[in-house]
Amino acid sequence: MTLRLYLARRVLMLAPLLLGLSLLTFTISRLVPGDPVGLAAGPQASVEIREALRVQFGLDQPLPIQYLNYIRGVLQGDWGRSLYTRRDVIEALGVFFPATLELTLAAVILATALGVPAGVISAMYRNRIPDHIARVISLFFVSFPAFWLAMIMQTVLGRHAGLVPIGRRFPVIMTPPPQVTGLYLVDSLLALDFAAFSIALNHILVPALVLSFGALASITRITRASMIEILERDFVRSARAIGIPERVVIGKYVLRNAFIATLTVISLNFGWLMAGAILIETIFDWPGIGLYAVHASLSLDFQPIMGITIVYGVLFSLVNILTDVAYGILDPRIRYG
Amino acid sequence: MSDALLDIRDLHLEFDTFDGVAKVLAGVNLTIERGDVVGLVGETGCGKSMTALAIPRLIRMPPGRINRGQILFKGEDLLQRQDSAMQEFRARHLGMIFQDPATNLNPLFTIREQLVDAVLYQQANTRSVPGRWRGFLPSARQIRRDAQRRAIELMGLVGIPDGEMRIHDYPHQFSGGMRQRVLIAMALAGEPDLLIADEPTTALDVTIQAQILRLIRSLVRQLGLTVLLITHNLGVVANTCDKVAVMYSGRVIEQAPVRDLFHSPAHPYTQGLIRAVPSGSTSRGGLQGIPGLIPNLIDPPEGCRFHPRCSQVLDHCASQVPGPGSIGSGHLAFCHLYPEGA
Amino acid sequence: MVETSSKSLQQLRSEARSARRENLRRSLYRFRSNTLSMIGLAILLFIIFIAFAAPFVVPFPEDAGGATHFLDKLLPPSSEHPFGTDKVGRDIFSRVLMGTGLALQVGVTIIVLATTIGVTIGAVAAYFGGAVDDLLMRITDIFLTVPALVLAIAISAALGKGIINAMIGISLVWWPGFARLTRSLVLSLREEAFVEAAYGIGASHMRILFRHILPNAVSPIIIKMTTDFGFAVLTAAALGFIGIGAQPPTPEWGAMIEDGRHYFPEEWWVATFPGMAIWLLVFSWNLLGDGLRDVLDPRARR
Repeated sequence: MTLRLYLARRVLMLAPLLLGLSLLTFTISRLVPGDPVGLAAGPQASVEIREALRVQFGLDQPLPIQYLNYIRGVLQGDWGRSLYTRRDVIEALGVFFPATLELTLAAVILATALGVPAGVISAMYRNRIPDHIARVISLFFVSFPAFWLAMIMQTVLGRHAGLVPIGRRFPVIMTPPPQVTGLYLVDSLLALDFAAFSIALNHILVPALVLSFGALASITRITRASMIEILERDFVRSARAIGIPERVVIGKYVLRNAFIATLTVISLNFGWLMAGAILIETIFDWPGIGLYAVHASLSLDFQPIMGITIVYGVLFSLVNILTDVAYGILDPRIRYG
Repeated sequence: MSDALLDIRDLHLEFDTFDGVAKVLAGVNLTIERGDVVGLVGETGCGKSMTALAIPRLIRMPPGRINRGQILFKGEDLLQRQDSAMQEFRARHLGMIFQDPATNLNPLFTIREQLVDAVLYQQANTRSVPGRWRGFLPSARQIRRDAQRRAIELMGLVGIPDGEMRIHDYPHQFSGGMRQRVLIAMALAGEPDLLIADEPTTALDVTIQAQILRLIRSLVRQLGLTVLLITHNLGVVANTCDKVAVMYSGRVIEQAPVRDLFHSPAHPYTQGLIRAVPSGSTSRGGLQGIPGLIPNLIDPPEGCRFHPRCSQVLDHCASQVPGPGSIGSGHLAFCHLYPEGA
Repeated sequence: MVETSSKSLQQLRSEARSARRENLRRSLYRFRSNTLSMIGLAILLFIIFIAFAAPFVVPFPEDAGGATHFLDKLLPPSSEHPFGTDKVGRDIFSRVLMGTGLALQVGVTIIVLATTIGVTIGAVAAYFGGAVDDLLMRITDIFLTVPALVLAIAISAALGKGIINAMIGISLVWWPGFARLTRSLVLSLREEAFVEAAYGIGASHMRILFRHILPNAVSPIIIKMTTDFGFAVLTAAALGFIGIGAQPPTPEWGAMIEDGRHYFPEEWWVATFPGMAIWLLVFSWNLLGDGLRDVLDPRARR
């Protein structure tokens, strides 16, 4: 009950935040020195055509009115239209968003699956060889420009070794699994289509892995630091003293305590990876928000950009709320007040 | 001597620190007979807790290092054991409780989870304990259900009412005294031979202290436990223990039956320590301390470490470490006033 | 009593000084004994040297700009062109080396700008509290709602393509982390005895904030600056790669990778060497920063 109240309050608090965010992006978009309409209409367009475009997109109105119109539209599900493709922003986001979400989630899961064990090993062998190795490896990978590493991996693993497809989410000639969540991995499992699942997995593996490297170092580091801190706690000594085996002490008792700090870093990294996905998508031709965002910003097409920012804002805020809920599940002392 | 449950001989423990090597234990000798409640007393920093932690080998090495001595348990040197065999020793033969019950239970797990694990892993065959993955099998759940029954039994043994209900609670839902009882239950789950209690009541209210000490005494009677009770409180020793060992700067300097120690303390340090305890008859201003400070462990005094503060110091105190001198039955003092073998 | 207290003031001060010296000595010892950090430092010093020496040592300094030698285009690495040449025949070795200074400048500028904005906002919010704090922190929250790169792309795009605008855009989204950090530091320091003492003797707000509080918050801020530097360099390169940041023919590594991408993998050298340069800079910095964190924040590594 308290949890439900807490969630309701958190979601309500989201509203002013998103309003502020939309105001921020709106301001940015209208301070543009360039002339988006001019760009969109092309150099040969006559003054009349430009003016017509201006009216069509509501750009002839005073700025505050434009903003209010935009917000009203957003609330009614009309997120504006791209100046270029003339496609509805909300429709485009509906198509591209699941792809980006799937890629980001896969990367977060991979980063956790690699980073947490590395951090645990580092903590157990602190300041000894395995610790140094884990540290160098994680720093080694986090230092790569993701888009560059993506390009290299795509070529080496995809083109030369032929181990994985070189791009996209799914073969163009095949039908993707029936859409439920929009995440192919989940949808294919829901449809019990394991062949589709393995195809989708094959496609997502390398992009997700490259993306996950960006979060590897910080997850490893925080896991190591909090494991070490927890290992010094009295209850660990107590558990050892009464003969609980070391693997149980570490794998069950210490890890759960240490994971609370790791969780914070994972949720922070979610945002970083979600943004990093933009770069990875351009390399792997991944049909997500990234490609959409890059094209829109290169052409100063601000309706999509505002929509994208709001979607990212909502998603990242939801991740933060979920993280808070997870704290409560992990730590019984936390009461939502 | 030979039937001693635990016999620590000439134990030396050092720590590497940034400032140099701290000689934390410098020849600890301590004998614990089966069925005894032995108090280990001394000031903060004298090494009594380090001795307690050294027995189950819970000191991290490095930076710690045991470079001399033996810890004989039923005649077998624990320092020679493999790590895995050591864990088995801790599970099967040893129970241990610590000072602050608030920090010695894991706050994120229910009492059930922790107590059931204590029961399971202290059983004869640890390998058969169902782990995380096998935990879902019906047979595994039966094993945990049985362990839970035993856990509730243990809660009753240590005086926690409503075990069936309270076992599902988290540590923060218990009071300090109740948490210490839970910890005692966990320590006793494997029916250990030896219970080491490291300042078990220091963090508790005075009334709760008395309850916990009474509980320990009654457990000794019921279960035939042997107890090593570490404390800085001579009152606790007088009320609870049969025998007592006094530590000073990394060495046991006197070991005696409780009555003898309080009536006829032999070592000058013990004499000073007992004079420093306020009693009903102490007059205002009559309380005496021992002049001087406890020695630095990195560069300790040669010979007897107490000699710079000793009022009865002899010539060779500064050069030779005193051996055990027998004063009466079971009463030993490590002091040149009582020559070895006399 | 009088004698002891007058003595203890002197004594306290000198004890504090010697304790600080002792801490510094231990920190330096820890730092020097950290081999990885020393390697990082060595590489970084080498990179800085390259940045200054490049104009004098590279074989084709004019290739850093818009020079074209179409006859030499897309040549593979050779003794004349160690990293090969790009689509208009410019020497990639020269361009990578000439881009070093730019990469360093970009990273430093972003971090310094972001730190300045963030520390000011965080310190003011925490120190004055109340409505000021509420307002500033709500603004900070808005920026933190969206991943930095997304907002940086939007702002930089709006400001117009180019390396300067990219740096401004990244700085404008990078400060909230510093604001949050500084705020929490100042909040806890505000309660310290020496700050109350400064109040007591009537020091001004500015003086208390800048002389008494902020100097004590320096270590965590420096740690964040060093760990963020690598990410800032990567982000700037990413904007260059997308095409919003540095524009050709600027020898910016990210833009050079974008350029080489179209020739990958057949003419692999065009994109490979700038990428390795970015990696080396970020890696050396991360090695160094990791050690620095150990020294300045002893809790982080035990």
